[in-house]
Amino acid sequence: MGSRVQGWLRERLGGPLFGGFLNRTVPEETGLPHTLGSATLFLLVVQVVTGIVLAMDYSAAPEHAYDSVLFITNQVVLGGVLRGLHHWGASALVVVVGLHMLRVFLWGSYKPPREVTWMTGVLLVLLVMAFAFTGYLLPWTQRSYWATVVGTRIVGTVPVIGGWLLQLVRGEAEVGPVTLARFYAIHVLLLPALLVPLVILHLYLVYRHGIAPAPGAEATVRKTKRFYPDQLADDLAVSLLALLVLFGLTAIRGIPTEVRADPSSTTYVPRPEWYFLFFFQLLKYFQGPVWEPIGVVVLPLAVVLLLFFLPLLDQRPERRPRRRPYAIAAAGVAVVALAGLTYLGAVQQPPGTRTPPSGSSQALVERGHEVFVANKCLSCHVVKGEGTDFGPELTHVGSRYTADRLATLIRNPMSANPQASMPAFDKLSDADLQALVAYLLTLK
Amino acid sequence: MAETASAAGAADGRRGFFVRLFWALAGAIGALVGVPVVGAFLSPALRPREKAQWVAVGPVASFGPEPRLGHHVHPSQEGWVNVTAEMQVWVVERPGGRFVIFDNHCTHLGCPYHWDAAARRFICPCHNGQFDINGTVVGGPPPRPLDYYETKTEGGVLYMGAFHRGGT
Repeated sequence: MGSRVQGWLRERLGGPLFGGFLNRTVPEETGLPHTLGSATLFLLVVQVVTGIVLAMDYSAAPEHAYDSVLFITNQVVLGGVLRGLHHWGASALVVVVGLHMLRVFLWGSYKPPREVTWMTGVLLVLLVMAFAFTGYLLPWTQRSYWATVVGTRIVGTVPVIGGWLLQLVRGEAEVGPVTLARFYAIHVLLLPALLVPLVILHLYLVYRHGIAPAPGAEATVRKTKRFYPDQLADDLAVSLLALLVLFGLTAIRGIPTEVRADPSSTTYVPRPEWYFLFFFQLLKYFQGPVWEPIGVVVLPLAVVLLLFFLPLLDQRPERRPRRRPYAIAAAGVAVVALAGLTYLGAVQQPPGTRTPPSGSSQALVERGHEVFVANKCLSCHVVKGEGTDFGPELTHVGSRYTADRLATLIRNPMSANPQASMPAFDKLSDADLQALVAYLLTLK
Repeated sequence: MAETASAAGAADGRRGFFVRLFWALAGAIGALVGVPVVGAFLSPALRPREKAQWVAVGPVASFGPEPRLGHHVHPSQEGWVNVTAEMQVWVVERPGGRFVIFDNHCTHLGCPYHWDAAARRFICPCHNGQFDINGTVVGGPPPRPLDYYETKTEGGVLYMGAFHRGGT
């Protein structure tokens, strides 16, 4: 029965179904390092699948975006898991696609006849970064808002047409409702429309030229193994491992809770997501009217062009790493530089950060807001027009109470008013209480 | 022989005509779809800039020679939304009662900066950009002095007007 259906379909569609792709052979030495490409594809599929369902409950408007994301996380069945997979999947994708690229570079697999495979791969890496950048704004948090302000400003520093480009990317002079809708459309419509054909082309080229044999073994008689099921089993095992890591990160680290975007903030210190930190850090070293545009525009453009045209610039057929000392050294320098800049960007504290009121640090206030959100204070209180006015409004609470008084009121509301209907938040840790008070004191 | 050549020529002519026709039709279709699509996509960049209006920043008396944050409600039209966000600017009084109002975004990449009274400098926390009280760059990556607004005082109230890029 099954074979009759298959035969019927084969007659209609022509040729074996996926047969050519699955029933091919690959060099025997194809192994774990080669699973990085399929892991990248797998993570892309996870992003697409989780993204489709996330989009069903997401609203791309500044008034609703943050709340719709909270709704997904807290109200949708398994919504937190879904969002966790999408959130951590993005980071995992950046890591895995980077490793995949590095593997191909070290093996010299971009060399003839696989130049175009590499070039489509570079375009796909750029697409992944574009996905990361546009997706980052969507939760409309302080972090995502300000990272986008700074990120789009980078476009604005392009000589001559910068202002025009900035307006084009943001859709308006400032990052606002138009920007959010634009980024959403780009993230869920434009980029996938570019991604799908490029992935198909990339896979077709992998199939057409076959997996590159081990460097130096090109001329020898090649032992082969089957792609399906031999190599594909390895691929699936690694994909499963990646998926388990995503679940693990979601369960253990959760999704970072963040503060709602506040465009009028002057105390917030913008910082990008970790995968853009290296660039953020790099920009500190390019100073003045001459070097600044070089660091912001010229250097990144040069690196991208160099990567894209690499197979045309380096046409020596030699693929063995030992015979390519300069290429390997360049890769080493690039990896060390990326890791170093990311590390410095992560640990360097911004100098002279303006201290928010009452001597509390920015971090403490932010932690306090997290506590505020986590304990659902807005279910009974209003802050700046948001929340439910069951209890007293808190918009200016910081100017009415001292820190000690606030702490007492939170721990034991009945101490002030025996009729108080607010539950006692006596399970809060001292650190969380202190942070919460620090946050409340900023409400003036 | 000559007949064959002329037949081939006729065929080439006919084929050439159809090749040209094909590309003309393809071009027309592409343009008909492409112009509205590309036009709508580019429209934010083609739209004329909003005209600056005078906005009150606060009573003159509330500012002094030491930089202070001025709050103002900036009414603007962002796409389909009327935004009346509270924005902030840095206000400095110059000798002779003149005021300077700096836009509170660093000219490097737009992070909000702050006044460090001890160091007598505006300091941007993102990439260590530093400006003196006149908005001149004294350290870090910013490519130009702080952006500023036109100012005027009327009836004891300080107003801010058109935006100017620093150094112009």
